[in-house]
Amino acid sequence: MHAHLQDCLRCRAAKEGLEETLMLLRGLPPADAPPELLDGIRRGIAREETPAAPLWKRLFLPAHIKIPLEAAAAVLLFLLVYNAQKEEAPKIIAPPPSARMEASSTAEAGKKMEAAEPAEKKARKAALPPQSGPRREAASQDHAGLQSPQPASQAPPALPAVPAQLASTAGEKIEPPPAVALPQKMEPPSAAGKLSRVARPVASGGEVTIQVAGENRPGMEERIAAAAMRLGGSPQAMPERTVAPEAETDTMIVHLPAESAKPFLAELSKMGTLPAEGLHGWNDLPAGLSREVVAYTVRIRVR
Amino acid sequence: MDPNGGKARPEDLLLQAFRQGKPGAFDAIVLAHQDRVYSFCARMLSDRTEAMDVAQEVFLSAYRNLGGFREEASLSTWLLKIAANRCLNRIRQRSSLAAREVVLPDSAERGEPPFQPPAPEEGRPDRIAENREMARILEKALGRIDPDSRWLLLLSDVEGFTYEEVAAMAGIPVGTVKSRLHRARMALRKILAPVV
Repeated sequence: MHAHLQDCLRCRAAKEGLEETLMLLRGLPPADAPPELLDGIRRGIAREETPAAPLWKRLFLPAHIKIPLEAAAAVLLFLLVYNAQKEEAPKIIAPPPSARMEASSTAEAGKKMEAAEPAEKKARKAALPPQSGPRREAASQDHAGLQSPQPASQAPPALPAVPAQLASTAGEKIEPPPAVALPQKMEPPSAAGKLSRVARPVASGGEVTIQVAGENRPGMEERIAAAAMRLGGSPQAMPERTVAPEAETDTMIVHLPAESAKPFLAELSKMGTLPAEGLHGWNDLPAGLSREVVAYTVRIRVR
Repeated sequence: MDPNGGKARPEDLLLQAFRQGKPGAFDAIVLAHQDRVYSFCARMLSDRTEAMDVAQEVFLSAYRNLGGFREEASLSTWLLKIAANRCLNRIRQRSSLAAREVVLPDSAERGEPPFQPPAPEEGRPDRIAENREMARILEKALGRIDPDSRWLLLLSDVEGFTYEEVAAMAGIPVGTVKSRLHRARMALRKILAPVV
């Protein structure tokens, strides 16, 4: 091979070229590693040596921070879901827009009636004779300060629940409220818990007491009922005569159209004596089952 | 019998210290080998950032497996074998080798003087600069060699391993190593011919 290389210029040049290349490769100095290399290795080792916490530890530790937080989050989530469901429930039984529009028009009509009332009330008040006494003052207070036509102290604790309106689940229209079965008999005030007249419970609406002579007492309920029916109303209860310990007082309930309230009181005054307290202004307010219907509790008292 | 005449090599002492869990032992091992490993990776990958990532992986792998290192080869050989495998994996992961190839521009195009081999007066500043330039050109030329031959070339001609050692590292016969090396050298010579 040596002899050939000495004779062959081409092969000798190739050999020399290869040797030169080898010399260059062997002369390549090692490159300096960047200083970040060692830092990176240290960080990598630190990462590897830190054991990964198990799932339960990552979820619950540190317990004093994570458990209360998670409990709060669970409660919050529960409340959110509960409220969302609560809000969705009325929507399901709510009437369609057409029915709602009917309801709103009824409400507007009620507002108009309310606006018309004060003028009528003022005129009636002027027509009434001046009255005195504690009952009158209480009634005046009612008119002056209280918005409600019935004093809060007179609010019957056992009033029958009367729905304002019933929404049809069929969603077509709002049904008028059915006649509410009123209690057949009002409890007479007991001797032990004798309430003042103001606090005496009434079934609903206004209250009026009529005093009659003993000889006129029989058939009084029938006469009152007949008067109510003549005026377009209806007696709701015809209780049996109840003898109260201190007074012979019976009670009956009459429903009347609102416009018949005054004539009804006039009819009553013909049948017996209506004490001044029975002519309170609020008696003829539409305080019945609706603005169109007045409910009167009529007490029949024997003189 | 200790082949070093009873004197333990520094590499063995470092390994012993690491296995005893002495703090700083692995840092010392890294410092002793990082330049060589990093250079190898940089020349294999032709990308210094990628080379640093791979060098980190090599040392982290060594940290994990040094307990099982049987000292059949030297530590540097073991580290370079890990580095070679990692680099080859990286190269295979590249979507297109051709796209990443460094095209060596013509020296005439760059307006540079033709490459001159290092002369005896290597210590002179102009020679140092020339040597650096030569190293840069050579590394670029290496980047154009087929990766499967490149790492053999680097191990044999740059790192100085014998054919037998390279064959053992590559897991191929010595004859295959020799033939591949010859082809790789010829290809490199061809690439460098315009400048050398």
